[in-house]
Amino acid sequence: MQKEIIHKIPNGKLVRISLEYDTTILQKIKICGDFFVHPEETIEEMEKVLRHLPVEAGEIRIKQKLDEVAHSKNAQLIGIDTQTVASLIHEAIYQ
Amino acid sequence: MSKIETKTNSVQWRFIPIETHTAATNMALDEACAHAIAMGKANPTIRFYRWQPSAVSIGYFQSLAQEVDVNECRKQGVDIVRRRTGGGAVYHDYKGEITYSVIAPEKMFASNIVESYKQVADCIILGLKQLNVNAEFVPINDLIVNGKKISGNAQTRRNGILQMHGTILCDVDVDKMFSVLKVPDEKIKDKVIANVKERVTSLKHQGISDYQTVYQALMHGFLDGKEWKKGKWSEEEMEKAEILAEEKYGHPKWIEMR
Repeated sequence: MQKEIIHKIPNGKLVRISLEYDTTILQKIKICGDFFVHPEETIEEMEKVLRHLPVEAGEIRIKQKLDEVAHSKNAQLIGIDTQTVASLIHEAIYQ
Repeated sequence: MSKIETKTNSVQWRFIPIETHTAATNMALDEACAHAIAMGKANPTIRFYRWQPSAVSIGYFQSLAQEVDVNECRKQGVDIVRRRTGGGAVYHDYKGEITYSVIAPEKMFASNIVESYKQVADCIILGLKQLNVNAEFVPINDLIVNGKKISGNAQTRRNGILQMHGTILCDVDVDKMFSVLKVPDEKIKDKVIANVKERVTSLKHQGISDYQTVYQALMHGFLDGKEWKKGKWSEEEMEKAEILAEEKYGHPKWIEMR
């Protein structure tokens, strides 16, 4: 299945998440938008760690995964945050 | 820290007067310059430039297919490039805007990124003040005049070098802009365009239509209070830029990356 969700973060930027999943596993995810992440490749790393995550992984687990990447890259996120991304992924799957 | 740090006496800026290039070359020159500064081979640099042919640039994190009508660009001869900075899609009209880049060691700026946006934005504000246009900085990365957007900016920091570029709108044709840019919901595109027309302004709207006047004012805004010298690209920078323009910024692998 394929889903897309678009969300404008209040006082932040527009986030567009596209994902592909089968009945149990997240196959592919793309986090796009006009936000800023330093260093930029953090986002590809985030997309990578979410791949093959069980679809029933809740918001908390998704956010934890994203935070781990942000922490390991010493990343700064501007106009976007891991909580919003995690909620949007969860919402996209269950909408 | 409110001003860009210039007290470290020996800092002399290199100023590269306005140039016109293709989209790929413009982005490649920014990166080649950042590389040269990181290697200690170039001074902190301020440059101005234009885009010919007119071009669309998209932010690092944006999806090409979601943001740009590629066929329409091809039809109109509009270039497409992905920036190495985040932020949104921009239509760079050759006659409609002026672009700048500030490339320097990040230690010369506030470590807080939004604060450093403001430091560079202050140069634009000062420049526009010369034209009796009162602009203000709106976090994260915009400048507005009377509540309407006149400038968008984006920065990246790599290898200790901050690179920030942005555009100042001289004349804006919103219909033309949206003939090549997509909107999140194409069904309500007319409404979005009407809304953008309300929320965007240009120097022409503010009564200033001479490009050279705008350029001189911005030059003043960026260089005032700094020690600077007019300079040009080194051969090494030109060579690096040529490679980057061909193998990265002009290459589908990068442009279509997301």
